[in-house]
Amino acid sequence: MRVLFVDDEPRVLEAIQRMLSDAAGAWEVITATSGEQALALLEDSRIDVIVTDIRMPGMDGATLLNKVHERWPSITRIVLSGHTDQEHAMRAMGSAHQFLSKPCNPKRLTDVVENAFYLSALTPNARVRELAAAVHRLPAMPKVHERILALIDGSRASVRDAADLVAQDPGLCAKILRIVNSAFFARGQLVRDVRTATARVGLDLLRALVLQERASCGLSGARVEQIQRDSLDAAAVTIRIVAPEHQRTAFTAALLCDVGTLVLEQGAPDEIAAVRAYATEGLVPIHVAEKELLGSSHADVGGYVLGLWGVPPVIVDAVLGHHDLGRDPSHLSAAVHVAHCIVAGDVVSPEAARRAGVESRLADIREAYLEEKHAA
Amino acid sequence: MVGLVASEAPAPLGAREGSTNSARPPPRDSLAAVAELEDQRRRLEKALADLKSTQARLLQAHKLEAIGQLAAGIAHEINTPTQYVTDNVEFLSRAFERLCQLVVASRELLESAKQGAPSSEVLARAEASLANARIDYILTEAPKALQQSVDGLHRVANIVAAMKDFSHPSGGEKAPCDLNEAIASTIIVATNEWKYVAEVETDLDPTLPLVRCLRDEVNQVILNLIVNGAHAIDAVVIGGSKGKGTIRIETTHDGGWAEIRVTDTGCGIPEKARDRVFDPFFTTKPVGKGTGQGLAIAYSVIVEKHRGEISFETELGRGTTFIVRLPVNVHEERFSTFCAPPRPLA
Repeated sequence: MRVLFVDDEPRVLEAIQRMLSDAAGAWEVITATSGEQALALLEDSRIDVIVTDIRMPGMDGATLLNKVHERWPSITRIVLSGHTDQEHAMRAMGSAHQFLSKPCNPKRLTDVVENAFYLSALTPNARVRELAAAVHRLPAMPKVHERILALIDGSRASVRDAADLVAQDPGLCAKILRIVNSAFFARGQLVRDVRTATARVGLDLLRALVLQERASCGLSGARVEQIQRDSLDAAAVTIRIVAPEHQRTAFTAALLCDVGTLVLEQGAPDEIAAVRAYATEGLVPIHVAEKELLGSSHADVGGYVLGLWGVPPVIVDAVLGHHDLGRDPSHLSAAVHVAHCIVAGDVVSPEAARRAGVESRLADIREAYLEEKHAA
Repeated sequence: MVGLVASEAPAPLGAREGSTNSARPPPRDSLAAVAELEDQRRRLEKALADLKSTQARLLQAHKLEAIGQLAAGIAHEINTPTQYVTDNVEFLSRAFERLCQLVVASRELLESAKQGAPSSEVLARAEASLANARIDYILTEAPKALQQSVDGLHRVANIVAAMKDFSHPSGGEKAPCDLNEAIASTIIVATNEWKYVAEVETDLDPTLPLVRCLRDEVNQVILNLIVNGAHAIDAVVIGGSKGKGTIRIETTHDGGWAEIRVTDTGCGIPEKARDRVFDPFFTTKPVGKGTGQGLAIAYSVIVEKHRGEISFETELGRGTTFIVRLPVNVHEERFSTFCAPPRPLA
């Protein structure tokens, strides 16, 4: 594994090299003091992850990442910048997978790079990576979404500021209000204002919602709406499955489960149509058909993309494992799996029910969901 | 701000026209004419006072705007050393941990050597901790890591000191000021404004006497000249993609005058703009890059508040030199040499 660090201050590079010297066996650290030098190095050697400063004399980091994205799309692109202003953060968001701000503590930096390695190892399929990269080739995500992500990922995230941004996007407002007022989230009275809604949703979930929008950006139509609606339903059902302290995480994981499907829909629409036909004819589950025809399931694609975007590993693992219970032994992926089965009208296996801890409550949960749906 | 000046500036002009017109006819009733003149004089005075207070507010607004812009740049200048100091300290603490293990193993080895031949277990432990310590790497890198951490902390301390120095309010009172020091602080504070497009060179005359001035306002003038120079160079080198230019700052002591020259290797001032350089709101920069206040304020501070001079020499495609001259009061000089407060670190 090779990481390329780019910064115009050589002392930053030297210090990072020293800090990472313990990990030297596992990964090779290469450095460049300018965008031009970085491109020359990329021409000559295989690089897995690039971490770059934004403002540099000559070619700046945003331009560098755009070029890397065009020429070597499967390289993980991370920004490490000392600029705290939104303008710079925003400019980089478009082509970067993740945004870290200086000073970044050594553990976080190491974790982010290691996570990138972990993901690549997890999804060796080149096709998956191409599709994941394709997400960024679509028209840029709406400005408001970019700003929300930059805000949440920045060091001064506040609910108040986030709510002000949410208020600028009617679609997102509607979505958040729908979520907080759903039977599962509501605690008594209706929430009507965006600030309360945002506070109740919390920044983590807000981020997940924005990422879901990001994955479906450029897509519209009945299929996309169906996927988003089903995810939201499954998220709501998941809350009934898990203990209160896991509800937020479970909700987020269930909501993001089918992000991979959205990516496939836009990255390979013809192939995904063929997959659906194959699944219907052969009576095989979609994720099996995807694996057979594409080499990767939507769970793989979703997990990979979310991991690149810096979503916490516990959620990435749940997404990766939500069709393949052998893959992630956590209670969370079982819960998400069961919720998806209920929403899709599929049979829940006794093993899945046991792992999700709902053996005795399964029928009640299914009934509650169907009633809820009828009422809507 | 446009509104303020536009609405208040015409008043004295109108008043002046009125006064010349009414003064021309022969004074039939001289008492009435005198009263009218007196009235107009008062109105003029009031207009002038209003204009002065507007100008003061304008200066304050510009100063706040400049500080806001500087703050983002200063944050970046501080974040960078903080990043490498943090990483170096992380490395050093891990290296220290391994060295400690090595010391423990060495002590054990020494003890058992004293009692005869060390056992193979003790030898193996000592060898393992020696290998684990990667002692050669620590020996070459630790001194550099320490030195760079110290440098980084100095840099942060310098920036903070320069900031304090730069923004220390004069409260409208003139005080003896070391211009060389003011220039050095201003260069540090503005680093993020010039470093991507230019190198800054200084040639500061060590015999320059202290100059009695409004230090914060003079700092502001120097800042404006540096930022202007950087913008002019940026227009040529385009964000540093075509190399860097140079901003050269010199001070000289010329008889009764302290002279500051700020020279850039930028685009130069176009001929048709030269007459209007010091006009308020006049700018050739793109929207968002300049408000057209910088040089107008420089003029007001230097010429009106300090009875100094400001001028420029420019050549298209070669660059521009701004020359600021401030009068040195000999008496003040002697007085302040004895009574000057202790200076902060350069």
